[in-house]
Amino acid sequence: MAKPYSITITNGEGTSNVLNDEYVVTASVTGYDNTSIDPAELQVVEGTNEYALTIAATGTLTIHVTEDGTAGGTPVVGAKFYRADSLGNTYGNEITTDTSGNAILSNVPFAASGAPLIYYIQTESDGDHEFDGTVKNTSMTESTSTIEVINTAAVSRTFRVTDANYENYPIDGQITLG
Amino acid sequence: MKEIIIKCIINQTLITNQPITIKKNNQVIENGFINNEGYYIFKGIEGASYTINILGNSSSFVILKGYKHDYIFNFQPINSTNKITIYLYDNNYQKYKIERGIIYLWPNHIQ
Repeated sequence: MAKPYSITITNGEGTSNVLNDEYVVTASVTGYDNTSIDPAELQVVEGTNEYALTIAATGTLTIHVTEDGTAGGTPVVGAKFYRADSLGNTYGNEITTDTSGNAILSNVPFAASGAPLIYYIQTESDGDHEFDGTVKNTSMTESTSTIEVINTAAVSRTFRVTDANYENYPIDGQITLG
Repeated sequence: MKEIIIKCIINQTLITNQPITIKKNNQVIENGFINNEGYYIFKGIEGASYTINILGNSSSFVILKGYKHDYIFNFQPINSTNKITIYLYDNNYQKYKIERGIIYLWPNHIQ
């Protein structure tokens, strides 16, 4: 008769010798709702050696984007983010900052201690602000949390247009950078 | 009471991170886990007989007086087992791999 098994998961997978049988599945994953393990029952059968399970988290991370990176700063509307892994691969749907500068990352893990890192990446700003497109991370000890992200206003730059045939002769007009 | 160290070998592999059950007179007296270093500490009565169960294998033993070595149980390969791989993903972020955790499989008929 089969006995209970514990299978350690590392980077999304774990391997064990398991008797063919029907099992009730439970999980111990810090930061996640362990009752959400899916499927909750698993039949291990001859010839099938790979099984995919999912688990869900219930935390909410608010990414607040302003020009100075403070809670009271001028909000940046239209900045886009994804949840990511440490390598920068993106997951889920794109989220965008609203008129308050908030983008909501739902269903992320949290735990009082040992919470897993939540990786995220900014892919765009609103077109008028600078942004850091590298992978960032945070962790949450409570079910809701807000992080402040800075998107500084674009730096003022000067463009000088002169006549190609008359050195230093200034030209009046308009140029477009596309 | 005497503290002993239990180690289990199945199919020439030292077992780690697996549940173990100790019975006395056919009654379960202790459920635990062999740790990640491959041993389980059990406190029993010198001279008493116990049975361990692990991964479908069982063996009886007596805690010997004065015997201070590890209690090593060497089982034969289990029939009808599959070396399975469990993949664990975040339900709301498709293909996001859960970095660490433990999945327990409990046989339906002993729940």
